[in-house]
Parts: sequence; C-alpha cells; structure tokens
Amino acid sequence: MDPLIAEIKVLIIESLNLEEMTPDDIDADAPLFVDGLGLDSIDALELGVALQKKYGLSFAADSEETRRHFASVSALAAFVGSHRTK
Amino acid sequence: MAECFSLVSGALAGTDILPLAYVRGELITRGQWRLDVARAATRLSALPAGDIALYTTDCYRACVWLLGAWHAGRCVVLPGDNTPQTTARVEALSVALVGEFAGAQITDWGDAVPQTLAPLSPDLRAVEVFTSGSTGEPGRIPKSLAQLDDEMRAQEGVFGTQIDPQACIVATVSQQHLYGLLFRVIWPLVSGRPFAAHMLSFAEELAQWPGTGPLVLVSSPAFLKRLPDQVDLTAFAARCQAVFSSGGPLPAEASHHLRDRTGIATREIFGSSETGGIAWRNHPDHPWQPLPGVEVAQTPDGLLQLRSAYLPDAAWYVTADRTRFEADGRFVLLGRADRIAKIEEKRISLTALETALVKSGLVKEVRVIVLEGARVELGAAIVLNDAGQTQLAQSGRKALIHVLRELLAQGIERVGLPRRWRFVDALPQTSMGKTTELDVRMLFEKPRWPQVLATQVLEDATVLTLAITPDLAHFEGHFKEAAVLPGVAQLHWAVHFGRSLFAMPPAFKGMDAVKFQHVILPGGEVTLTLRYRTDKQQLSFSYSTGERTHSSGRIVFGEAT
Repeated sequence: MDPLIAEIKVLIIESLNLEEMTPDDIDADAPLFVDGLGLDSIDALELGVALQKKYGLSFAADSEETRRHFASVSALAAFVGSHRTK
Repeated sequence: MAECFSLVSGALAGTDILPLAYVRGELITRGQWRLDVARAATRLSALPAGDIALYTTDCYRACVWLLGAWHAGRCVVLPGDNTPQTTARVEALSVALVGEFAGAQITDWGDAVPQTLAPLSPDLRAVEVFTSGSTGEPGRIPKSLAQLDDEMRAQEGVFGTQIDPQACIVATVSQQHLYGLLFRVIWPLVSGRPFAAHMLSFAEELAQWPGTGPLVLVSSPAFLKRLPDQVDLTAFAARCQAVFSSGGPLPAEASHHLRDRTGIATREIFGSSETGGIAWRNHPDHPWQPLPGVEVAQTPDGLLQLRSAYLPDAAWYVTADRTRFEADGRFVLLGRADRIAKIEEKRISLTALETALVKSGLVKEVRVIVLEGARVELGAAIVLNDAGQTQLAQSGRKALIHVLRELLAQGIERVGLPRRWRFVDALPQTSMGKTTELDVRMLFEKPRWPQVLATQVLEDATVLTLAITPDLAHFEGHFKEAAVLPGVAQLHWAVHFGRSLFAMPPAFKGMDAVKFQHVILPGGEVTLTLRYRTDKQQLSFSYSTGERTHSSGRIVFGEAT
C-alpha cells in the first residue's frame, strides 16, 4: 500500500479524534463525507487545516476542485503527493 | 452609510442598474432581479392558497423566491436543512415545497409571464423560521416584514456608517437561518449593497475572491476559528471593511488571531431566531452591548430578558441564557439553562436526539450530553434493549454506531450528531435515583486505571494481570508518534493497587531501586507483582510480560508528619 495513504488515514483519525476508527477501517476509495466515513462539514475544515500544516499545501480557491481532492483518501493522497512542500 | 431602501417597496426598490448580486462572478442588477421576482411571483400565485417552504443553497435564488412570495402574498417557511425528516415535517405543515427539496412542487421560475408588482404591507407575515424548539419539536417563529426591515435598518445605523455603500457582502453562513437571512439578504436589500450568491466553504475562496472592490464578511465561529495559517489573507485584509460573526461565541484566541492577520476586529452579534439580534461586541473579552432599540434586563432567576421592536409584541421575552449584568448595562453570558446545545452554531435539541434514539427500537434509555474538548461535541450514553444487545453482539460496536448515526442523520444535520458513544448496563444514578450530568460525563472520561483481568494471591506476593488498553488516559499526548505508558503512571498504579491489597501507612516517604528497563506499549496485557513488607513499610513492585521485566522498584511509606 502507498505509505502516504496509510499516513493520511492516521492523520484523519488523529486530527478529527475519531474514537471508533482504526486505519484499517477506512476504505481508501470510499467517500470521506456523508455516505462513506460519515465526516461532516466541520471535519472538512479541520482536516484541511491539518493537511496544510503537515504537508505545507495550499488548496485552490475553486471549491468544486477542492471538493474533488477531498473525495476519498486515495484522492487526497494523490493531491498531497503532487502538491506537498514538506 | 449607504442609501436606505424600505422592504415595503419590495422588489420595486432601487434603480435598474443598481448591482444586486454576484452569481458565479456575473453581476445581476436590480433590473434583472425585478424581472425574476415578477416571474417567480406568477409561479407562486398559481399555487393553491397557503404558505410556501423554501430551501436553496443559492442566496440569489433565495432573494428572488422570497420577494416573489411576498409579492404573491405568501409567507415563506425557512427550514435550516433539507434532510428527509425536515422535509417531511415541513410538508406536514401543508405548505408548497419550493427549491431544493426532494419532491419540490416548484424548482424554477423559468419564463413565466411577469406579474405586476405593487408595494407590500409592513404587516405582511414575511417568513417563519423553522428551528429546534426547546421541547425537541421544531418551532415556527414568525417575522413580519416590518420586523425584518426595522432590525436591519437599525443595524445599518450602527455598523453601516463605516462600510462602503458598494461593499459586497460575502458569507460563510446559510441564509436559511435568521442570521444569514438578515445579513445576506435583508441588509443588502435595505442598504443597496450587493451580495455574493454563493456561500464560501474554504478560506482559500476568501483569499482569492475575484475583483478588488471592498468586501464585508458575514461568518461564524465554525469558519473563523479554522482559518489555516498557510492561507495568505493579505489581499482579503486590504479589501475587507468588516467581519461579522454570530451563532455562538467566537473563541478569544480566534478573534485575536484574525485581528493580527487582517487588522480587523470581528463584530460579534449575539441573538437568536426568536429575538433577532440582541447585542454586539468587537472584542472577545468585553461584555455584550445591547443593540439600538433593544432593552435588556435580568429575571430574578438570572436569565436574560429583552423587549424590542423586533419582537412580535411589547412584552418581555425571557431567553434561556443565564447572564450577569455590569453596572453600565452591558452583560456577560454564562451559558444556557435548557437542553438546547449549540454545536458549531447549530441549535441541537438534546431531547430530540434522545427521543429519536429511543424510537430506533434498539435503545431502552439514553442521555445525550455536551462534551467540551478540543471541539464541542455530543456524547450519547445508551442502555440498549434486547434488540439492541442482539445487534451489538452480532454486528459489533462500530456497525451499531453507524446504524444509529445514519438514523439520526435523517432529521439532524451531521455536525450535530453525537461523536462519542458509550453502551452501558445502566445509566449512573444517585441514591435519589437521579441521573446527573456529571456522572454521565464521567462515562466519557478516559480511564485512569487499567482493568484487572486476573488476581493471583501467592504466599508472599499478589500478581495482577492488567489490560493495557489504548484508551487509557496516560497514552494521550505521551509521545504522539509512539505511545508508551509513562513511568509515573506505573508508580501510581502500583500504589493504587497496593493500597487496595495491603494496609499501608498513609504517607509516601520515598523510592528505592526504581528501574524502567523496557517500555510498556498500548495493547496486550502485563502482570504486576506486588509485595508488601510490614516491618519495613515497603511496597515492592514489578511489571513484566512473560520473562521480560518492564520496570521494578520499592516504595516506602510512613505515618503522616
């Protein structure tokens, strides 16, 4: 498995303080919000802050594009992999 | 201060070329809007008599439907969300569904023949805000056109003087709630300022907002306290003339941080759907200053009460907010006295959550409480019934929580769903049979002592088998990347279990030969061997796994001096 995917799963669990989850419980290709992992809009903001801090990323002003990056752990890993500055 | 229009003029106010809204970067003038309103009024007039319910994520469309409804003589019911349960509840009011509802009767005004517009009556029942009542059932809070008009014209008098008449109102809150309705729709309409139709979700959108003209940000703590440091706010700071925050208190840290980054002091508005705006402040440590036209006082029970022209009548309205008054008439808020929680500015009825959980058919008893950690969140302590127990045994804790959360999501926004769950055999009770909030709260505290799996009493020692579960409080923050059980916790546990096994003198006198050889990691079991020598008043301990010793030492006790 892509080590970045594993790392992002841990980041999600730690930054959102998800009591019930282990990395194995998160399907890298399942939606993060609503239907899949069931995260909410506040989780999206907090996860955005955590990702920016850890990887020195910035997201585009286009919210539709940002939403696509947040579609799943795999999508996030692809975005982080190509845009990280640290 | 900008030119003021009266809401009574409805969509007739303002010249054709006056900018009204920006929809995906495109400017809509009052002239275009007037035509859309006239078409929308025709569509709505064709409906059987009665109110309409509106839900839309687009503030321009909201502004067209609202005015269209008013010119068609209809009151608009505004629910905060369009979840299936809310949609069903709104439908039960016998209103026509308009906008983004599943099964909406009207979704667009299309090219309907424009209706001739006439001025509106100030007494028109304009909107009903559909929100969580304290009983758990949503309540309808009516607002007349004059109430909305008076309130935002008064606010323009307080805040508008320092804001450019052309400043564009951008927002991170929905106009489906009263605060958003007042600041995103009513204020722009009466002050002649344009507004952005699209609601911002990310700080990056704010930093890169198109154009260079002046801006006003209408926001809330949920957004303002999560502005990433990486986002460059220089361009925004140069354009922004005011930041408003409402829905709940903005943490002082977030307020100061925003001021450092932008030079702007956030104007916090305190209010509610029932009362409209009550008071404001522009420093997080200052007491609240009543808004003009609002008279505030304290009830004998310490609750805030108010009278204002923005309320339906002249009687005192008693809020559920506990308060303390300063000598100068300003006041401090001390928290709510009812069972409505504010989670990220969403009003969540704890009673409604509990009722919904019991209706699941899996739950016998439940208490939902507010937990304040890094984030304010809800915890549900649940006693399952037989069906629930069966489901827990068959599909496991995680699947059961998923089922319960999805069930609640039918009627409650996700942000307001419980994030912590405890399944217990019985809710904690006092000797009087009362379940106190404090006792329920303890269920959510991380355990400070490990569970004892086995106790073996030997001739000269007692051997305890301890479960080192990852949820122990000691692992929190003790090396973020690789948690280990701190040495001090091992000493505490030795003393704790020692006292339960042996009669030891009360005072700690010192330690001897304490060695930490191998770390104890979360997960798995360790054995703790304890020996007590009465003659030396000395407790020896040793933690081990199989042949491997993690730590050992002696602790000496004596009489208190």
